[in-house]
Amino acid sequence: MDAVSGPNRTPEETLTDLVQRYQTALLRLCYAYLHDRTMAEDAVQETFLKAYRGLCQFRGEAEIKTWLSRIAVNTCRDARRSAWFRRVNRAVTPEMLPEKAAEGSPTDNEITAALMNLPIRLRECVLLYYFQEMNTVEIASALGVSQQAVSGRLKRAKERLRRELERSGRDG
Amino acid sequence: MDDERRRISDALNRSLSGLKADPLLARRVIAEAKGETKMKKKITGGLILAIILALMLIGTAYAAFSSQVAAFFGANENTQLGQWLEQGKAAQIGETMQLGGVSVTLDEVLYRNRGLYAVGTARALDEKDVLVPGSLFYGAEGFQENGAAKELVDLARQRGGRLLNARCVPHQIGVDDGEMLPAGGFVFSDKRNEDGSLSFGFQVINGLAITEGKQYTLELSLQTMELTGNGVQRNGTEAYARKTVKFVPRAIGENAPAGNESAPDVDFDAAECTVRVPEAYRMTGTLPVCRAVKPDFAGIAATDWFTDQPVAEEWNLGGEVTYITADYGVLFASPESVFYTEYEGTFEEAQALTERDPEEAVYSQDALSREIAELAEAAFYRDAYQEALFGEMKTPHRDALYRITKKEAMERAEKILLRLGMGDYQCGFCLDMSVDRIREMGAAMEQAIREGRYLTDDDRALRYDQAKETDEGYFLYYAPLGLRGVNRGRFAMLLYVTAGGIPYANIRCEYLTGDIVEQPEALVAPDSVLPALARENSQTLSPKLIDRISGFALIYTPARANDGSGMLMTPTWHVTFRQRSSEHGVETEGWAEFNAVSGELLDASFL
Repeated sequence: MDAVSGPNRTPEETLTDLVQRYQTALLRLCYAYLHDRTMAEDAVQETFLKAYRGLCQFRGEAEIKTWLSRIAVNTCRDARRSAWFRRVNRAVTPEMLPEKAAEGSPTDNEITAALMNLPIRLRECVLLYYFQEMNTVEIASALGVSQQAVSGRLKRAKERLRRELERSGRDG
Repeated sequence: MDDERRRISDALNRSLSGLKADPLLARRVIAEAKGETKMKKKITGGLILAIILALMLIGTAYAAFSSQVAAFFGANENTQLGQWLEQGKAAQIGETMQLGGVSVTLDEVLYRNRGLYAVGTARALDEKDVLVPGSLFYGAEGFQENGAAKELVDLARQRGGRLLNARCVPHQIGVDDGEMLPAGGFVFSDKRNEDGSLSFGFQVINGLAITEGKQYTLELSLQTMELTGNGVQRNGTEAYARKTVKFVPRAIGENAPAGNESAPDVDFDAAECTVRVPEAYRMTGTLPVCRAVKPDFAGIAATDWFTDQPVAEEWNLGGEVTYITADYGVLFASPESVFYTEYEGTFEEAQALTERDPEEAVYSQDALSREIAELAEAAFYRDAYQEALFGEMKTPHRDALYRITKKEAMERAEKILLRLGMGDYQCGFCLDMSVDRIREMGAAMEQAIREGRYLTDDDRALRYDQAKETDEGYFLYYAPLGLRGVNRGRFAMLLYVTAGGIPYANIRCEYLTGDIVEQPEALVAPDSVLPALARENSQTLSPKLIDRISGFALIYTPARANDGSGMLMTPTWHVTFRQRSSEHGVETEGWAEFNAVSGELLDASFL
């Protein structure tokens, strides 16, 4: 388990270390959750601020990644609940994804867009499973649901993704 | 991490590689935490728009919309949908049903482009009871989101009341007192209001059932239940009711339905199009309008069409029949469909498994023949995605396989079609599944699954490398004129035919063509429907970019009789075209069906 803080590390050093290690992954997680780059950046800032303030209370009950993911998901949920979030069409098509820095294929974008368009409860599980590489126990802890619920949601999400990807080139 | 997760994780990271870390983030967070600075949230275009919208909507949440339906979907889905709906026609309903301790009122129904959109309100009759929106629980899993659900559970406990849910959805639809037809697939959503009531909405789009008309008849299905503290249905509390409402929708305020604004012309080059018509039309220039007859496949389907194994068990339930053969083949037939597939093991073994472990028994292993048929079916649904799945197949085609030829396979298929009254259907696809092809396609499928390009939740290992000569066969598709997607695939037959039998069949036919009702002197010319195609497409929520017309085919499809006497099978121009969702979208094939007597749109993939 990662050392969150200790006698030889100041909270500032710990935070800097956490930001360095987890910022990119959390940014991508929040973007896939919220479909908006600026909102995702805000959510990541908020996540680390909450983490920084909560460092002294973190007792190592969970992996640091699980802990941060939980904060990030809750922050994203709060953002989604805001009234103005709901007024904008958040459906994602492959063309709307941020310009890539790395080599990728159209299929990467198809998969990402399909995943980002999943219903939110399925999307949460899929993002934590594939993006954060968490197991179902960790995901259950992060989301505050049962492991059985996580397994069920992953199964349904995969079925739905398969149908969406099969249908992406076929109407009617 | 297993390969599938690795592939998808890598795909996600590559797609979002443009999102980069902020090198100053840690410094800002620390400064904010110490109160040195206030972190500014970035102002986005979306936020500015939202502020403007919020200012415009002071006083009432729905002031931006005249229609309750438009307001509901505009607020709960997206503004664009709400604005699009405002150009439809709506009717205030105000009809109430009471069931299971809940009073449900249908407030308004709106019609636009072959769709009905409705909103309503559910209230608990006893103020102690607490209504729970459907989004908070899921089947046997119960409550999904502990925060909101816990509040409601606590509230019910404090009051000494029950947790209740109600769901009001469309069941059947009639237009101008014509035939009531099943509503088909719909989308339902609900949310809890501050006063404890639920606001709900549903949307149903159905080109066959929801035509342009004056008066609509909507049969609703209401379901209520009580939930336990875990969000699972309490046994014995489910209740059902039906109610029929009639209404005449009218244009909403001054927003007349968008009608004849000019739509971009559809590109049409007669030399590049295919036109396929029956011989009778070629000779006479017309086709008759006939009575549509409901089939009774459940009364005639038999296992000996597919296998020589005896029937071990038979179930009859409300017009549907299931036969299970001794070697665990399952034939299911409803009045308008026939499905046959085979499983591993025997009927006796399946019975024993069910008794020993019912959960496990639900997931019986498909027979290898079924896996092979699914492989062929994946190739049948050819499009950019599926072509990427298999690539160009290297195995040469063969007109003869192990103890069966292509000709023999087609003869067996056509014999079944004749028995069902579908004798005029033509073959539109035939794929020879030799052992070499099974293994070639199977290897490609396995690789696609490993790489995350093909998602499946079936963890069982694929077994294509075990295919033998006796598994070889022909995968066949039959439909009117051999076309794909006729009336959304509701008129089609898929079969996998081997020397040993037909281990897989999937047959659907909603109506058969009956006696002649009318003999039109002439039918409209196929290209005369193109302006209507352009116009109807332009009026949808997300119009497609139609690049060019691929072809026309003259077939029969069902439509309501104008005199309310039931259903007709009417000559129909089935138009196919190449389309894109957006400028940079992938090109796919779309279709639309027009009544060849009146030129009216019957159904389309863009609805």
